[in-house]
Amino acid sequence: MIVSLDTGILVRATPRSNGPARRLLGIIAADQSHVLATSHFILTEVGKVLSYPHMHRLLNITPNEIHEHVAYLRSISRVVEPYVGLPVVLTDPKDDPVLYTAVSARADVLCARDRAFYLPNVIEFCQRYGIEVMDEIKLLRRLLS
Amino acid sequence: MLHLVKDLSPEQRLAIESLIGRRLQDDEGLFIQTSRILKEAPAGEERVRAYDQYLGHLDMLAGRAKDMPDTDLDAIIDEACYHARHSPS
Repeated sequence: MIVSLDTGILVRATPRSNGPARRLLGIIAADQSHVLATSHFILTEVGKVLSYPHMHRLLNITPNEIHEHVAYLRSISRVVEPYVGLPVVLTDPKDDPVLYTAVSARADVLCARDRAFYLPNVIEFCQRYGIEVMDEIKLLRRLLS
Repeated sequence: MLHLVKDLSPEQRLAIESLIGRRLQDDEGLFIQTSRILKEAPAGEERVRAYDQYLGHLDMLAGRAKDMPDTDLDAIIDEACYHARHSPS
């Protein structure tokens, strides 16, 4: 299964070693047939989130560790350069690069928590490309079933 | 870029019809999107090694936030994600 994880899911795997997002990554890691797909947009965002003052203080993370973290994430991933086409997430066009990352990576699943990805037109757009949208709990259940 | 089907050469039209698996109509347009895979995901031993490094790094960082309640953590992550996506780069 090719899985594209939104920034919020990737970041949630960081501060909890037993949380669903971290377990999800463990399951993806354990099965060679699973592919994690991402883009520079998402990788850069992960770096920005970890640099955010509250996160930075919470994790006591150094700039060097943030660079390492993003480099490790890049090293496990299929990295695409998506063509961001017409706006799809009309309520929040800044989500579009995430959507187009999943399309360009030929993902089976876009895993995201943001409600904007669950609007009917977004779901319909994803279905056109064979992409299911689900949160990390549902994806975890899917991969464990 | 939008291409009108009626402006395509017969060869172009045939090639695209074979890709999409149906006949095109003269009044249709084609909007072609390109994308690139910059780097393929690793496989085999390289994949195992890369995931070990990444997951090890995650767990090392998780150890620093273990005393933070889940609800506070969620709020901080939501705020940071919103800020990262919506603030000017």
